[in-house]
Amino acid sequence: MRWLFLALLATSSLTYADEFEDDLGGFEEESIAIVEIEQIKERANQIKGSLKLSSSYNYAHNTPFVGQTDFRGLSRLKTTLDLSVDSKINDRWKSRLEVQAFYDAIYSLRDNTYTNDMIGTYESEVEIQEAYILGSISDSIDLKIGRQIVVWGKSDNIRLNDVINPLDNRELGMVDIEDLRLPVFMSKLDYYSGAWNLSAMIIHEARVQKEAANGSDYLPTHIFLKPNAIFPKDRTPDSTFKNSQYALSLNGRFTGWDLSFYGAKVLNSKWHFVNNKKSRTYDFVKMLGVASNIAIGNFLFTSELVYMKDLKFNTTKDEKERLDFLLGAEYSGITNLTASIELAQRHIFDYETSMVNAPDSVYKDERQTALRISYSFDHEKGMFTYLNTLFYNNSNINGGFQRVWLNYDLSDYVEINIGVVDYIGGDKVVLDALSDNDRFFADISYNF
Amino acid sequence: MKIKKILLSLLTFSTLSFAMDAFEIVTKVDTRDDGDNIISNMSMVLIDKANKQRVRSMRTFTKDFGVDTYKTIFFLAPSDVKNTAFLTFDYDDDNKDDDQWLYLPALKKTKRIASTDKSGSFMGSDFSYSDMTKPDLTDYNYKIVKEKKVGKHNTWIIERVPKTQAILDETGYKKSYLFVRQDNFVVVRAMHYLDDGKKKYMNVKKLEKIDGIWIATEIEMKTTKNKKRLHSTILQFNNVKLNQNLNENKFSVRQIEKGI
Repeated sequence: MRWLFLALLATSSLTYADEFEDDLGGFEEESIAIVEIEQIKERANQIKGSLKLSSSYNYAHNTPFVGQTDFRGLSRLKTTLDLSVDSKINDRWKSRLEVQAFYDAIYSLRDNTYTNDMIGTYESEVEIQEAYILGSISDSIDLKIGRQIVVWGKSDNIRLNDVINPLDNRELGMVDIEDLRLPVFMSKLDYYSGAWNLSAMIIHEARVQKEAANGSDYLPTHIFLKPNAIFPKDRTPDSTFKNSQYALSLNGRFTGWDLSFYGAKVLNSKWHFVNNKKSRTYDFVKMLGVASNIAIGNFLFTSELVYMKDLKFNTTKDEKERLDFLLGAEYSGITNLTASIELAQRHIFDYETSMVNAPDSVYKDERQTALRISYSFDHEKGMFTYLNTLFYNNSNINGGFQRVWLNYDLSDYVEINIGVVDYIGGDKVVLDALSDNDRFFADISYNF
Repeated sequence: MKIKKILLSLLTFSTLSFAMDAFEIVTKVDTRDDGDNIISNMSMVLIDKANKQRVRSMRTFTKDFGVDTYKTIFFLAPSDVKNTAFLTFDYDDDNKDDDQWLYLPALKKTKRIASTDKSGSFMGSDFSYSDMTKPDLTDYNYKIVKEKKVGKHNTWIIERVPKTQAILDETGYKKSYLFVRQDNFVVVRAMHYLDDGKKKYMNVKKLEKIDGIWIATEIEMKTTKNKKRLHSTILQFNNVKLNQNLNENKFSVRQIEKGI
């Protein structure tokens, strides 16, 4: 019996020891020769950029009537060049200049009835993006002057407090997030003390959104204009001293949570008719907001509250006030996967029933939801993302879109991106009119 | 006679008595002076099954604030991640989650990261976030398995097993073997067993004494399954400078937004 026990012990321990010794063999495998690594040197000027070829294919439009623009099929063959130079002026000051240019060959290749407005909006563009100098006046004060982007708020998908920069709204749901905000010229002073940062801005440039071309598949104006009515171009207010915009934020970062307060007088993101509907312009709105996020375990909870006043509409005479509220949660507890959901509620005070009519098309209470799921794979070479954003009135869906795409790094320099966007119709006519804009898209970028 | 020999050797294998016990050794590893106020350039080479390689270059700043460690990582290359920066406050207190912020230059936004799951890949590499931080010693049971020479140096091989399922879930390692050099208490090799049958091999390929402190300047981490290499990562540290004049401002959201 004793021998049997000893034999069993010997056998099991032998197996364990053998396995362990066997596993140790994993260290002995011959090493792989690695590529020569270029040591990054600190240079006074650093240039980086990207060259992107992008295309899209519309698959849901109806056959157009004679003389109308045919939006079906291949709708984009665009080349975009982005160049930026970061310069170090001295130990305390640096600068950045970024220029972006694009040309979309589809407007010359396709035999189509594109209007001048469409060609002017979508065919080509050369533009200065960010252009600023940034430095420290003292150990606790920074100054940044020039065209820049300032992101307010804590949410990732729904913009409530994020009012400083106008947006590129030319193709809702199709503009890359990095190109969505348009930089504006401003002077920004930051004061830092412990966990707090006070940021004051004077915005010198009166810049407004880039809107979709009149009559394009992203702005089908016929839905709210009378036949043969002219839709006037939007007019940007002059960038004069009188039209300066002001913004102030106070940001605190603490163990496990962040808190920000915002206040601003900025240009409204929405236009209104003036001069007996012969022109359109943008006026100033005032806002006060607060945003916070709290990290608990693998969850990041977000909340935002914004009060806005002086909102002008086309279907009412007086200005309105609005209160927006957002709650969000992001979960990162599953390896390689991040999921977030955000819910926003917007309430207009002294609402008038006429406001539901186009072009305003707003309800007294509107909700917006955003769901985003991202999954990275193959050692972060690939990222699969699903985004769904929907707008609701009290009882129904107003419209929205869902988008799914795959981004994959073919090398350190080349990446591809393919996906599909599905526009969802609903009660809001301006959103419902986009519901047949569904398209596939694909692009390839060379980053240098 | 043969059985007796085997038994004796096995008993030796499982119950070796050493001058120090396992916990004393890992305590020595944990309290070893690993430098402070450190600036270094870090290169990360990601190598896939087909030996195709990708390179990430970063500049890192590390400082101890009491028992807590603050770290800033600025990405230098490749171009698509350049100017991305990561700030982490690694708290010694187990009841306090680390604070982490990521600056995304494409979005011009600093995002707080909430994740207590440290089993995920560190920037696409074979290193997990738990590999990049110091573990809490009391979360594990330790046992000296044997002694072995690694190169010219004697090491203790220490078995480390998480005490709870929660710790296992957090790191992803159900068991690890740490090879601790006996002359300087540096972990020069480690073998980690994962739940899904994979194994990870950490191998310090270059160890240098900088300003009197042992620093691993080249480390390989290899992921295998059924003895086949699935992926590996080599971390190289260059231009390592210790005891630099790093003030608190270096470890702030202000700094990651401004860049180096």
